[in-house]
Amino acid sequence: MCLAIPHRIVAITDERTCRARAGTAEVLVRTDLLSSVQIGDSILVHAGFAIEKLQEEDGRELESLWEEIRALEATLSPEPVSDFTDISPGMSDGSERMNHA
Amino acid sequence: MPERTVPFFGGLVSRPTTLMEVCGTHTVSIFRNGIRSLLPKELTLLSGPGCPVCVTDQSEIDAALSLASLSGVTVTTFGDLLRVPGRDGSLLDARGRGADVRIVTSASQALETALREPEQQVVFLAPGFETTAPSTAAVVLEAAEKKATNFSVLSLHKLVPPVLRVLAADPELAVDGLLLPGHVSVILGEAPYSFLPERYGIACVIAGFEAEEILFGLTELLRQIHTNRPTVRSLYGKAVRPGGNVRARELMERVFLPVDAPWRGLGVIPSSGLALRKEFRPWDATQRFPLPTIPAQEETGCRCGDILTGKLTPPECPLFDNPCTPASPVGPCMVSSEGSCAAHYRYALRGTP
Repeated sequence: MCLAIPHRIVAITDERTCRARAGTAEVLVRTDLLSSVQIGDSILVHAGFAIEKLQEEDGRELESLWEEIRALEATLSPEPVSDFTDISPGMSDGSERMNHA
Repeated sequence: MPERTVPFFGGLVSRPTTLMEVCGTHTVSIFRNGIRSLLPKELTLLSGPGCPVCVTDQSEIDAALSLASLSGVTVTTFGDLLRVPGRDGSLLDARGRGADVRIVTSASQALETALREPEQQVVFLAPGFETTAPSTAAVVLEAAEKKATNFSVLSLHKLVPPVLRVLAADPELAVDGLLLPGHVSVILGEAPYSFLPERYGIACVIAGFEAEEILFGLTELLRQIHTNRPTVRSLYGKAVRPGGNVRARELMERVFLPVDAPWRGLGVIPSSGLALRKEFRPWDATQRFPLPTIPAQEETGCRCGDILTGKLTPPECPLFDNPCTPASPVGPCMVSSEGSCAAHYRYALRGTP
């Protein structure tokens, strides 16, 4: 129920409403929950209300976390080939279950 | 998002580990994207109490039904809530019997209905967590400003941190990590969850809803657990500010007061609901209309409480698939498309996880 869809503001209608677009759909959105909005802002819309302005993700932080995770994984699995032997039995288990179902 | 999106779970899971996704939107995305099929067998993924429709108590539906039976009253609410069974059927059944029950997609539509039809008493039945409560608050403030005397709100709003506290303290439920609800966190930020790692040692990640965001979130949970350094980490920075949406919280706090609230299958949880403050009594449906006192729960055999806390999986409920199905639900977890029973029924009934 907490579904929220990104929209782009195309017009400011009054002090608490804007028109915003997602794909080809254009809707009226309430902006009461944001301190300021302007045309072009990307907003997250839930049940007719903008709940936050979206901002560009800081890719560097996520990238460094991936590096950390990969480094950790490298210490756990010295032989990369074993990754596949670990994973593939699980997959064949899954497909057997599907066949039996 | 980096291209390495399917992580190597196997190496990070060194002992049996239990994670829980709190939010129903995560539950559906996990099923739809086949993420369960990627999990090693030592890793258990449970669905939590994060579907507001599913945790709406039968007594709350009964109160809504009693409002809908009053002459001159129009009940407005989100579509999901219409099919949740109360003691005497659902709001949809009541509509079939002639009650004026209407679906809205926003709290503001409910107020617009009241302004357009001044001869009707329009009640907005307001479910939802912190994501939704600020919009109800904004509409109550607007109703007060416009002196709309024929509009009121029956608040079913519930708060996420108090129910997580109940889960964390439950000795039967040893959860190692929580995938926290992304859009509740847009409002709350990170701080309200800090008791989970600090007091209970539970790893926490705020994540988005795309498959790769969920996989990344699960991997980060496993990293925290493996390194034994639980914390609250947001990987949904495009939408979640560390401090949340302060303005939305201010509106919510201006209009509502935390109160003890009943959760379906979980009982009353202290300070886990929101009631309108005294100054907004004219817009509080519980003050304007005579409502039944909370009756004893009808015994349906539904195991919602155990399912919402991850103690049982949906197929373990004796009613699952017979007689409880999405077409004829016994409990709300089967009603809402984001309920864990409905998700299991739709995506995993035939044995494919």
